[in-house]
Amino acid sequence: MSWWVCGFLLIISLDKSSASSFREADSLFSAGLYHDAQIAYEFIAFENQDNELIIANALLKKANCLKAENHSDKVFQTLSRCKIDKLDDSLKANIYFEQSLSAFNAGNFNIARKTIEPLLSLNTNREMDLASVFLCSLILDELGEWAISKNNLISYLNRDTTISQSLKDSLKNNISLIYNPDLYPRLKKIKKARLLSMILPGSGQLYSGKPWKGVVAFGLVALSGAYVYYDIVSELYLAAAVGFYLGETFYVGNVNQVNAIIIKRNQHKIDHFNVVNKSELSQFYKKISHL
Amino acid sequence: MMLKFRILFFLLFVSFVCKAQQDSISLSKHIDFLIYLNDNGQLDDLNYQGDKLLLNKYYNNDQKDSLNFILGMINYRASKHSQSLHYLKEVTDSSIFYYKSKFYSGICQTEFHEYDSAFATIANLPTGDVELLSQLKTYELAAFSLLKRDYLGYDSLALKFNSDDSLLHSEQIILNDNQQKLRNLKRRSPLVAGTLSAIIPGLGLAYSGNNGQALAAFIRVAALGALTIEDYIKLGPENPQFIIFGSLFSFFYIGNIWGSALSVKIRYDEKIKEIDHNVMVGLRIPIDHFFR
Repeated sequence: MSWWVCGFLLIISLDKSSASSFREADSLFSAGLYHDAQIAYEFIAFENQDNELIIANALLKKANCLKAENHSDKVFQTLSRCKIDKLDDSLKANIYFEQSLSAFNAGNFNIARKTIEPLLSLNTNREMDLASVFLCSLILDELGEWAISKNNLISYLNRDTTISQSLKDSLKNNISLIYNPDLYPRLKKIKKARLLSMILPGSGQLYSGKPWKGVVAFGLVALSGAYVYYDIVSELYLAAAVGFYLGETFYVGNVNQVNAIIIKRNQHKIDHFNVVNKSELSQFYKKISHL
Repeated sequence: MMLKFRILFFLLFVSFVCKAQQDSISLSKHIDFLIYLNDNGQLDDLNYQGDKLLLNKYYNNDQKDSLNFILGMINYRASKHSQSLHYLKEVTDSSIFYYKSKFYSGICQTEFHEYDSAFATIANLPTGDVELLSQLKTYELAAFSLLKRDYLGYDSLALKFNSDDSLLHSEQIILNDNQQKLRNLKRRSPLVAGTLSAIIPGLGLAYSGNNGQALAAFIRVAALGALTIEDYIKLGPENPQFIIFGSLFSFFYIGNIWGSALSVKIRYDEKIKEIDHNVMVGLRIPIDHFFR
């Protein structure tokens, strides 16, 4: 009996594997000691610098600590240290997902899209596939790419074998209702607005839905023109030059102003549409994930 | 029975020694870990881990000195001067890093314009018979005196400049040049600058050394003046256009005078700042060279 006890004690004392280090770090995380856990995970990565798999696992867990500490902004940078090409699909998927989520939460939707796209082509389990498809749709919605978002969801339904055909049809109908092209916000085109403002000052603002700004822009350019005309007629050439300079400034300002107006208004419309979409999508996600 | 008991005791002893070794990872490994964190840009984690290690009661003073020094230098290289100073100040005089820590502490203190503290930090350093160290100390103290504008203190220290080291010698010459520039720097008269700008718009700015601004001010005021004259001649003094341009001209003309008077002080402060910056850069070069 005593030999067994000694052997057990020896095994415990010599157990320096990464698994035991992970257990220690995990216990710190469970105890809410997030910064200590972060250091412990970094130490694991440090001790296994030749093992990309362990480094990636350690950094993923560190990312969880950062999220628990409300430092989501540091998640992307932390996971960027993983050498993705040396990892298996499951780990790759986790890293891409966390990075994309971090970018999405930070409002960097283009970066989030670039990070989530490689994930969709990976061979992952159903849970990750579903989560990544929904995150991708949320990102695409924010970018105003509703048609691609809809296709993304429908192609998921087509490949999910755990859902019955009748339920698939019903869910596809739901998606078609959520992404009804008739309900898409009518987004204004910047190029068109700029062209209009170039031809007739103020008309771009009018097209963008800001008629009063259009009136002001037109008024300023028109007044400058009238002033230049008056000065030339009165042979006040220096004053005419000043008037021309002012008029040119107002004209350029009137063209540039439509950019800011349209970006703001389009974003407002997208946000308004997506608020409704988000709640519908979350219901939809819950329904499928419980299957 | 006795043999079995001995083997059992030996195995138990070995197991506990192994466990104890595992718990107290060597300091060198921890330092490697700190360097790893720094290499990966995890400065927050590095300081957090460093503070934890410093609280470890199993480390002796020498080991804590080493830790403080390494943390101080890493933070210094990352331009975190406040953190750097916090660690470097803790290095004790028994450490081999004591001198280096003190010199770099002095540099960190100058970053916060704490020139008196920086002077005191270096002044108390015993240099013994090491000539180069003594010269380095004199040079640093002279630079701090210059930053404090203590010219008498600087003069007495500069008399001791006698370095055989070519780099330190050239830095001493540059410091002397900066000292000359500071002493010769005269603040020009705001009254003269204002008067010149009243006579010819922008001339006061040129007098204070802002030639580009002077030209811009002249063109601005002259153009408005020409407009006002044109309106006065062609439209008469009661015409609203003349009144508008006349008012604008007056506004810019007075502004140009006021700006010229102010620019004298601004220009003077800029020059002082530039010389101080050069002195502060010069503080680092011989220290980096000496302790390389």
